[in-house]
Amino acid sequence: MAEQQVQRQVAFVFDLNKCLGCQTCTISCKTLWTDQPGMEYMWWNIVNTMPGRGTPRDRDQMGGGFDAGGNARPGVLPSAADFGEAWEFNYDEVFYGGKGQSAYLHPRRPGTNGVAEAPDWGPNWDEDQGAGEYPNSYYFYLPTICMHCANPACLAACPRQAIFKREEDGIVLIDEERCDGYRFCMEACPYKRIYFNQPRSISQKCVACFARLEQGVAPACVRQCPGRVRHFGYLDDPESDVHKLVEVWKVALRLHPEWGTKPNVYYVPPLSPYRFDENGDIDEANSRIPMEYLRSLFGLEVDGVLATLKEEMAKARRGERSELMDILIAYRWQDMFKPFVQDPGELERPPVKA
Amino acid sequence: MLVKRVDAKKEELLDPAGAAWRKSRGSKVVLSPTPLDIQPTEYVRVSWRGRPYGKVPSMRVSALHNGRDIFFRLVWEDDSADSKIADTNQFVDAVAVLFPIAADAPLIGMGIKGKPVNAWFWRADWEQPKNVAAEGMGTTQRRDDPALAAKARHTRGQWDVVISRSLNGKRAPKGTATLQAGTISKIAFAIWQGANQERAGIKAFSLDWQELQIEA
Ligand code: SF4
Ligand code: SF4
Repeated sequence: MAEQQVQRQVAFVFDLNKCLGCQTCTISCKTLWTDQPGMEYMWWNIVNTMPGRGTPRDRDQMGGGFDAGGNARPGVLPSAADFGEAWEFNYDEVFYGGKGQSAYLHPRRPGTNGVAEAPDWGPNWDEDQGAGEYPNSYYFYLPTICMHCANPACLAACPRQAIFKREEDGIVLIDEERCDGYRFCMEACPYKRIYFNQPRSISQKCVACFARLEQGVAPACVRQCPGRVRHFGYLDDPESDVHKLVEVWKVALRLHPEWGTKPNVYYVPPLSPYRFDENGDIDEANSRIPMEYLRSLFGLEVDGVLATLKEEMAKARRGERSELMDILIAYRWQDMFKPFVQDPGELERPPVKA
Repeated sequence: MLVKRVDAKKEELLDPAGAAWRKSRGSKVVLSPTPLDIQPTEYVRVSWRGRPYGKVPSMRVSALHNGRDIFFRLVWEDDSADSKIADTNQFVDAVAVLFPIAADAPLIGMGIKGKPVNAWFWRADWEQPKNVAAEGMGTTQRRDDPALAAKARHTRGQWDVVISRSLNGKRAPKGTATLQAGTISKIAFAIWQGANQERAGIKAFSLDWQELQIEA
């Protein structure tokens, strides 16, 4: 499967050194796009604690994508339980059952009607567990969405050509009219960012807020992020942060580049404090997040990127100017997603249909 | 395959347990897996290589008409009735009856451009079968079609499905095979096993068109 050629490509850069794990991005997406029946369990955007099993459960073992020779790799079709079903709560009992003082709200697995079967998995279930032993324990947050890949495994897998990559901005969309719910795309996407809508029998995923882009508005997850983590823009626009971070400073890396889909979501990898050695002294040769682990996620370039980040931080500390630090600090919020700076609140709205 | 003319009401003929079917033993149709190398994407080929599918070896087909509607009764072994999509990794049982629209439309690959085929596609989770037009794999267009009806039951490890449509192309949308009493045309069959995640081109099908003779 050859790379899909497009006129322009938008890209996201997520700075993992700033992500708070607050899931504001997740909720902004949920309320905007996935609040309809059949979408209860969908989280087109999800933030996972790393190291962790991911969403869906054990995603990294689910295959898909391409091998080193560019051949399709078989993948696994996750169950709803792997993603984490939408829980139900015993509202009736607590609020209307006369037990307001004795009963408390607890989650149940869906469809277990009355039987209080406690869930044993959910999206980001292993939140804040991370890895390592005190005082060298560590974790960081990893937001994922559909990567709007340059070589989308989902698009290549679909026997109905129901998935397409837009010429004008390179975002990858599923044509819901053509989709027959075969779910080969779900299997083939190595990032497992496609969900199946059971009542509608179609596959659905992040749409990069295309309707907002067309009005010059940045995607909801980008605009709503309180951590100023998310940069967005055209990769070929020399004025855009994403261009500067990916092409000029080269500090933004793809997640699992070996999966071969060439994502257009990039990550500034996380720095971490130095380890303590056996004597309780600071070991300046090793950081708490093991480099092997970061290399397994972002490839071998991660060493160089962390070195650049450290150099530029040192410069800034000495009071010298660092363009890179200025970009990553994001002094001016709107600079993060130029030219998609239109305030959605100021757009003229079409009249609401009765 | 002969479609006998009987004097019976639609309701009776649509019911697989209906009296009209008792006399017809039907004929055995041998099925085989659709070849892997004609699957339309590399992913489908790679992910099913070495994985068994299309394992229903045969089905029994009987056919009747009453001058107004035509009925196909399709019976095949399937231990598990998968009649609801209850999970994201689960699929449902299905069966299709296929007809060429162009007389020389190839069956393998579901027709080609300019030589379409027509299928009546029943899926265990649907109230009504859908009308499918195709000019090659992956080009299928499914449409609701009020002229199509089906009734199904699953007993003793067997699906027993009757699919019917009006004769003479009455109320038929474009791209529908018109079947007429007193004519000879062609027919083929396909089966999907939901329990084995079969869908799209991953199915069992009758290798070639069979002759379909509709009694006058
Ligand atoms: S992340 Fe997955 S769904 Fe999104 S474009 Fe890439 S392969 Fe397709
Ligand atoms: S909204 Fe921003 S800071 Fe919060 S979890 Fe999402 S990316 Fe991280």
